[in-house]
Amino acid sequence: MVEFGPLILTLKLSLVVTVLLLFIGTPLAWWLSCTRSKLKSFIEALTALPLVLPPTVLGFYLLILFNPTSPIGSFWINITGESLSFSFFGIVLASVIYSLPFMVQPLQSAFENVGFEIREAAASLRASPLDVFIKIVAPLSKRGFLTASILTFAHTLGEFGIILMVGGNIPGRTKVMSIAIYEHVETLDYNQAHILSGMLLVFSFCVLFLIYTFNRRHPLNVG
Amino acid sequence: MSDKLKINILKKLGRITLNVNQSLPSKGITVIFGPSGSGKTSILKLLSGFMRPDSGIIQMNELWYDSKNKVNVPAYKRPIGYMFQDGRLFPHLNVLQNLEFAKKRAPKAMPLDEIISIFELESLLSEYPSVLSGGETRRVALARTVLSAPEILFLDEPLIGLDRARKRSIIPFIENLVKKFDIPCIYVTHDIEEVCRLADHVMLLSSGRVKDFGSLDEILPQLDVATLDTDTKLSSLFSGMIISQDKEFSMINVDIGGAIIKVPGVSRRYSGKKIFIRINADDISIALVPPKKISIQNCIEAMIVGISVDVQSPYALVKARFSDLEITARITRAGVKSLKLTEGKTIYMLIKSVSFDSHL
Repeated sequence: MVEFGPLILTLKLSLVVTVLLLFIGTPLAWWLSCTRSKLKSFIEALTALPLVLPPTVLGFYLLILFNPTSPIGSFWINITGESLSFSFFGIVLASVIYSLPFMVQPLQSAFENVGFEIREAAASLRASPLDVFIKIVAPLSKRGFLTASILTFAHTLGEFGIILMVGGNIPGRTKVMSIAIYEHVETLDYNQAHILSGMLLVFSFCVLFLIYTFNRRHPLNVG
Repeated sequence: MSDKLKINILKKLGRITLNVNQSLPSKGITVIFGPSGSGKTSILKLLSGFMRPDSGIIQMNELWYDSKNKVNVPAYKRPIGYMFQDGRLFPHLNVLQNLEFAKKRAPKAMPLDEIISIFELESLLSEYPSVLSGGETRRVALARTVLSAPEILFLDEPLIGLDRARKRSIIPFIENLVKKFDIPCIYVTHDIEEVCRLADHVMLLSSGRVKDFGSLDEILPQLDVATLDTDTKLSSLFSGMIISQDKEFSMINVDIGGAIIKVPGVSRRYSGKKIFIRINADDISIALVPPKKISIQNCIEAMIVGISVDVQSPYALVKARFSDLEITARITRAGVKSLKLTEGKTIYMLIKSVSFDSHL
């Protein structure tokens, strides 16, 4: 019997994280691609941290932050009545932080690739910076948006360490595919582990395959 | 319609410092002319707000930039039109969409259909920029700039990279649009032909400083000096008057300062019209007596006013005066010696070929 709970939870988590990160990552990447501020390097380093830090380190700090006795954790309990740690929203928050570079970096390089020349041309035609972004930069970066979304989605799909640290293993709330597989292996239930691993493998491959096919069929700038 | 453009700016640019204090006329085409690296394009970038001066004032009707009072109107709020060297069309929009982008954001309605027909873009409207030729790209970019209803037009070497024939086919579009829409225009180039064809006023720029400013007629005598710095061929420029045409042999007779020059070609212009003539220094030979039985049509009697010899090179420059005008020839140093050329000597300058740059 295949258990679909972890699969559905994993897809839900990846989708929510990707959508949230599109809203958070786009303005951040846009700012990074335009700014001449001295803060730029600082913010860039901060954004890239999850790439190099072990998930346990990030998970450890988040666990402390989410604790009901901490300001953030107690604030969350006050407004929702639930604990942030070991909740679905807790692993969403943790994943948003952990997958941030996978959204921001491809977007930033896509925006930078559009080039200041085209932005200047649009500004000379009286387009405000927001207008330039919506009408010129965003459409020219559609491939960047696609790549960033897919990378974020796929990365969240395969997340393990940080979810284990922050979310534990609660069926229907935090028990995602990777954790379910880990549990099956621990309990020597290799059959279930095989089924879930196979599903994750095939699904991940299909998503990436579709993206590369799409990118080939729709080369940019030909209109 | 609009006020003069007042510029008083200081900007450090790598090795040179741009220091311009000049009011530019609010009518016609003002050409900023100078060698590469003299800061021509930077002036346009500073005026349009893409670059910020170190200090100074830029004003046209309203204040655009004032370092003392901390005024710096962003580029998209300045009433300018800017045509870039490479056109910079939006690659994801077709020609019509590129034009509509400008029209939608213009402060006043511009006649889209009329501008499409002026620039002969009817057949290109559904094309994307990546398939346009260099000349077509410039025409679309020009049309797009005009559609944004600018109060002043900045053209940054708009014809660079095009061959002569294509350049000549685009120049009339520029002449027409300035006349038709009465938009003052600042035009950056280092091509002498474009200066002669288009300029009403010329600002000579050298290493970030204004060497001279005035009408084309006033600046013309200096242009040959200025071209020494550029890759343009060394030549002398004259403004002349068409006095007659020889239709049988397709020659035009032009009066420059009292001397008559025969120029090959047929002019649609009437006698009495002004044209500009350019004579390359390499196309002049020198004789001590007026030669007979020779195919060369133009022979000017002149007096040598200067000879500059560079011992590193086999050539010498001979500057001679006829009427009030000066003309420069480049001949070999050996030739100078064998003819015993010296200052004050009367010579006959044989002009092998003449090109003319018409100006309406």
